Amino acid sequence: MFEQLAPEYVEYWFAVGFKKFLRVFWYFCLFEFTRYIIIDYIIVFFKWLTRKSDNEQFEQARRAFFLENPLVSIIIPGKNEGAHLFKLTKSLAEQTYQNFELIIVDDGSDDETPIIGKNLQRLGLIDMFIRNEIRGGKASAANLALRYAKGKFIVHLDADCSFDRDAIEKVVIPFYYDDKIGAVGGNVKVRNYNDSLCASLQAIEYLKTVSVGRIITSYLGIYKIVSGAFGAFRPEILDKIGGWDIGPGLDGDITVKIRKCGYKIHFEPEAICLTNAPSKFKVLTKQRLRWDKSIIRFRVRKHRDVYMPHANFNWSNFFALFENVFYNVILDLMWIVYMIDIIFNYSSSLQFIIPMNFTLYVVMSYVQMGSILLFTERKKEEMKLIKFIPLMTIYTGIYLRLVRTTAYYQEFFFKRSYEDVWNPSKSSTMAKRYGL
Amino acid sequence: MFELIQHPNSSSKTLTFDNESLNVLVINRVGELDVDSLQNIDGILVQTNTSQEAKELIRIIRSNRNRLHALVPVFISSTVSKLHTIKYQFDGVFSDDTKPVILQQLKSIKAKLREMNYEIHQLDYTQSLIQSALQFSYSREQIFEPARSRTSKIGYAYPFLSVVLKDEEAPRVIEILNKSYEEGYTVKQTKDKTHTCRTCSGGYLNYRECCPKCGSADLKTEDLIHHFLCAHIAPEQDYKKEDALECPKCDKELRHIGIDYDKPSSMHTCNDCSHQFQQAEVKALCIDCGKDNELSQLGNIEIASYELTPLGEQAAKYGIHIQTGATEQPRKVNAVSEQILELFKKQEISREGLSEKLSWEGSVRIHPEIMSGFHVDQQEIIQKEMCAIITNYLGKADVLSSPSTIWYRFLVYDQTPESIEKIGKLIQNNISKLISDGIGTFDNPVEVLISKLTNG
Repeated sequence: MFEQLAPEYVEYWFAVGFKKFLRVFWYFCLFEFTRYIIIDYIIVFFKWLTRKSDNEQFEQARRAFFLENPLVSIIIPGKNEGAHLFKLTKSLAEQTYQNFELIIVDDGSDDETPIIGKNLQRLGLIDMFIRNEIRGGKASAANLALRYAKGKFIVHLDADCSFDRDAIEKVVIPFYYDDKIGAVGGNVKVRNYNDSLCASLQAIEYLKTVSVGRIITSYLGIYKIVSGAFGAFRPEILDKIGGWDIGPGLDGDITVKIRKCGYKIHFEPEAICLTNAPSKFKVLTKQRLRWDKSIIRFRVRKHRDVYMPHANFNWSNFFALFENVFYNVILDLMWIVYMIDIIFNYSSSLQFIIPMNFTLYVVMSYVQMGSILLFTERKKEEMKLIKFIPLMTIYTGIYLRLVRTTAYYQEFFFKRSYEDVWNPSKSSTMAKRYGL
Repeated sequence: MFELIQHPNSSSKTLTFDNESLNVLVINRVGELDVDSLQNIDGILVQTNTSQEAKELIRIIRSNRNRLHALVPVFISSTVSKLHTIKYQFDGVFSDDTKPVILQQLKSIKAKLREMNYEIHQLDYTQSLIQSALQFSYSREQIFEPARSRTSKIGYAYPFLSVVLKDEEAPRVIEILNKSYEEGYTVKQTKDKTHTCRTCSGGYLNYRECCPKCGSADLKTEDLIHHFLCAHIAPEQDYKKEDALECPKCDKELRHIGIDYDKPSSMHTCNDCSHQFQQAEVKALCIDCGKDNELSQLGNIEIASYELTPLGEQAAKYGIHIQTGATEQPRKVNAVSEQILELFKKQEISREGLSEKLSWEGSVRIHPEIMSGFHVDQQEIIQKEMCAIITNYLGKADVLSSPSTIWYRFLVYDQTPESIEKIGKLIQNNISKLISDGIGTFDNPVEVLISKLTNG
């Protein structure tokens, strides 16, 4: 019966035995399956076990938060974001927590942003609109907002995002779990997942790497990137570390700086923010090249001290960065090794290996989708993405891997991130000179 | 030959030229002026010690109810102190050098004054002032040119009218001249524009940057410095270390603007309420009444020169067209005076019972705060709009009056209770909308009361 139903390449692997299966698919079994299925599901299980105490902890923290009713400073740095500002203020006006001040920094926009911002300020929809005539880069704009923020907590947002009604409340409450929590990352999902295939694939990717991936890393204490689109910070810690440094990749950089100061980073999956993902592969490629270069620049170069044994050495910081570098940079190289291994040693069985590999990854993606649906609050919408899952193997396994490898190569050998127009050249020149 | 000779028993001096003689009264003090003695005077020479006294003298002369006396040529001696501040109010400056010119002027003005008709018309004060102003301009062949004046409330003064009216009444001078323009007696040419206080129409305004939160002018302004290397950005004070600039984040010295750092913007801090902001609000403080004005609330006065038209010359010679009292009211569109409304009301009450339908009396009251924020000119524009809205819902025979900018009265004939209720609601809704759309939100901005027209 099985022989009739299963394709020939699957039957082949049943015939040759498990030992050879492990030998051929070592890359999948050792790294991908272990990390994304076994560990994920073990943690899902543990979280299920502790769900009652987690809820109690949350309710207690929520009560303390509302009792104190602290001022929260929402800061939004950006350039040419005027078109998003009104919608953003509307989204924030719907929040369940209203004791916040809204500070928007216009980083040298050359469109109508200054007029829009000033008008919104006049209408009382923005508390403080700061206009920099000369562009200084996102980090300096965020630092300027920080300088004038008066709140007990700082929430950093991107202007093109919108938020669930309780997002601000949910992203701040975890600070009441533990005084040592220095920053809380919000859950960023893709709003325009229906726009194009490119956006749909990113929506699945965000669910895997942000929504679920960060629950896992946060649980393990190795969460290392508070998204710039939605994250909360304690201002006294930001002051201590001097705020944001020059990007690109400044959100990951500041998270590491906070970790290095001895603070914990928490991920709050229920603090939900929706953002627009690039709907064209060309735009996405540019974005990812920028993001991936920052792994080399910050995690490999700037914060290399995390890997060195010294007085402030900390294992969780070590693993946080190591996991990131290992699963992105080292496994990228390892994948090349794996390809060579297969081509040289099993060239005659490629007709069985390639479809099987593809099948394994598709099946794994569906299993991962199971863990996503266990956590998500938008099951109905996210179920619509299931039809795109078979394509995720090509998207993550080939497309993103190629982009990533290119970015690592460019940054490792040519330090191309310093030439990125995302940052003004005056800042990049100085950062390059001082090796930042 | 031209000389001034003192009469032995009189303060009057005679200015002679060839065989012709002119009586010129020389006055040294305000007390010497006897208005009754101006009957046979051809001119006056003011020779007071101070400009203040000279100003008072000319005001008394020009304000004389006898227009012939009020228009007498008056010259000021060049020896009077601070002459430059008041000389525009006189027909000329008398000195040894200007004697021949002044004589010519005297003769010319005298001749022109003789052409005029001084019959007393039933003119009201404004019309009388217009008539005098036209005659003054005609007799001097002079355009009403605005002169910069520190004492005038709006910063500009005009010959004759600014003398007759007090400095505080400067906006009224413009109003009178504009009226002469509207009635075709003068043509005007814009020379300047001035903003005035919404409360007192004063033109002495102190424009200054204020805190948008508390209105204080006590602001501190600091440049923001952006350090390129570490992306730190803060007010310049944060970087100051003795004479140098040092980044508080990375301790590096900032040596060179454009290389190490730049100044992308600046920030104001209010010393009173500590509010920090980039866009200071510009407000205009009226020096006269002390009220703060937002720029959008300021009045705008056009300063122009006014030149007589042929109609104006005719009016100067033969008198202006007499306006009846009935035309004084209709600065409000479609509105009659209150007296007329009362008359109609009485007539309608006496007609009561002749029609099957009822007649109604209504009033619309606007919340006083709504209008208080506007300049008088703007109030009139709004008043016209309100009248237009109310008229829209009244019949052709119905009557509207607007006793003030916040009060409107109307009579509506032959309407059923249902339809008058509907009319009342429509008026209320539309005026409320006009206020909310154009002015702002107020609690109960409009009150509409309608009652049946009865004898009581």
